[in-house]
Amino acid sequence: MNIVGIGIDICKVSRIASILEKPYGKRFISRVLHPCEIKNDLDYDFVASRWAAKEALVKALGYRLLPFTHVRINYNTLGQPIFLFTDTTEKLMSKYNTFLSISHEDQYTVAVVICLSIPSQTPPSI
Amino acid sequence: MWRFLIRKFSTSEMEFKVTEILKRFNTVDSSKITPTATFKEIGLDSLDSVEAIVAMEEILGIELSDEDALKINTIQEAINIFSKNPKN
Repeated sequence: MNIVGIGIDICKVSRIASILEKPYGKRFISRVLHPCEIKNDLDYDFVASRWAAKEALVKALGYRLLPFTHVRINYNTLGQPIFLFTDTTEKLMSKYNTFLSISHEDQYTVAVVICLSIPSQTPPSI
Repeated sequence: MWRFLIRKFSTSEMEFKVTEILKRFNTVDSSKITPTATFKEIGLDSLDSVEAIVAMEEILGIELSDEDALKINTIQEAINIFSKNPKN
């Protein structure tokens, strides 16, 4: 597998708090989160981590037109965050393996993504 | 009467409104606002840019698809895309 790209993003939680407290806060949520990530008791850290992870993914891919609402973050059995892709992003991302790490410290959230290309399944010709 | 309320904005009205919304952001350098300027060039980062677009949707009463919202990179693109979408 070849590395396609690496992406990093840092998000100040207070910036997310400021947006969510504005009249268009709900609209921002529905533009940034996957429908499965939207719940009534959303906290600012959660939204900041989703924003940072999806921004880091865009940077790793070098592809700006990725709809964040078609990307969600879940956790595997080891507790590591993983991306899940739906709708239009599913086919695009089937060519890649992604690795995600998220960290929080005080007022900041950081996410790092490594994107690898999946080798072609076609057997080499003899 | 209702037709008046749901009418589309003219291009010059849309340009004025989009510009006014952008000027509300503390990081925006108003002297750099031109139709061809990108959001980044006037001082908005990626988070500001998404906030600016949802603020425009809220204030203009126009809802964009994800696809249209992602196409916006310059002020002129914002004006064009909001102009072609109907008011809610």
